[in-house]
Amino acid sequence: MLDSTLGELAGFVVSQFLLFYMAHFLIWRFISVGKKGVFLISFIALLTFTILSFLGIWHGWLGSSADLWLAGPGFFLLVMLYLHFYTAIDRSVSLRLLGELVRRHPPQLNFSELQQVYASEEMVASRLQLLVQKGFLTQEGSQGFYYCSAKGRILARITFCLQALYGIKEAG
Amino acid sequence: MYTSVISSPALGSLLAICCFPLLILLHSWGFRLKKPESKGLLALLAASIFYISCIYFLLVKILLTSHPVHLGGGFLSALLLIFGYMELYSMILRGFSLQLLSSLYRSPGLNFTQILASYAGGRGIDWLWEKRLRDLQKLRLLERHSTALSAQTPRGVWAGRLANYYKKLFYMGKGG
Repeated sequence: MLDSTLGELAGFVVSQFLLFYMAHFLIWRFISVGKKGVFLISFIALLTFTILSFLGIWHGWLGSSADLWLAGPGFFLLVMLYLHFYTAIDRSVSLRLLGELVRRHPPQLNFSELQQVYASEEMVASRLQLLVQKGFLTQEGSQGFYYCSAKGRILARITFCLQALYGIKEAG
Repeated sequence: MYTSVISSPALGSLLAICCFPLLILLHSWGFRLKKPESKGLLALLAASIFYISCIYFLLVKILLTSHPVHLGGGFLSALLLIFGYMELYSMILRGFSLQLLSSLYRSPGLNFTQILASYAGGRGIDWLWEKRLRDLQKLRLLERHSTALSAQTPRGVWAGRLANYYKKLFYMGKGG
């Protein structure tokens, strides 16, 4: 059933991942910050996998289509690990704070300086803007009141259900 | 029908998907037993080991196959699902955007100042800062003094540098 050796399959998976990473790197240089996100990365990964798997079978780099049942989970596992890394760099409040600290020599900030470089208001404003942009929130009225959209309400309900499942009381 | 499923190269991956609810149930049960956050990852690790063991047991002892496509596909699919689940779990536990959304679902029609005050069930945005700083201190990524914060530990400096470098390389903006 396994028509390629494990070494060949590992090589194929690593090559797929490297090509995905190069495509991601190139695309990220040309699109705006607002368009960058995990959904686009996932789409690039899926596209890379589909094209290369097709070429792999067609050109004989893979022994047979059955080998894809080993190569597929391997490739998507690497993509998933990368997504963890990417999300942490892009969204983590803690990493942003550490990033601001190491820009200084010595790497130190007092609380008023911290408020200047990474204010709580900025942190919340950027997330609200992102949620409005992605259609989870709407902003109405002259004072800018925020409301959940239908999509936002569904996501909030799912969050409540999952938090109830784990008994989480202090999320955030 | 039964034979064709057993001989299918997708068997390992299918088993990993079918057994996945077991991981969620075990983890949520373990999470409820222990104090949240501090033991959540430990409960997930235990649930993951049990989940992978179940897949191995079903493949080798029940379905009597130790074929590399079945075993490898099963383990890799299981790991893929575990890491995907970890991302979801981390979003539920620490997701800042999800918490903002939840606050606005509970109290619709808040303006910016009210959102700052009502974050996380009325704990406010300062609570989030306090929580993040406490976690960074625990991980020894940051030192907290009476009037300042510093990243004096090598791992704190490297984590900050890596984040800055990667954001610059991929034109990701400030992040956070």
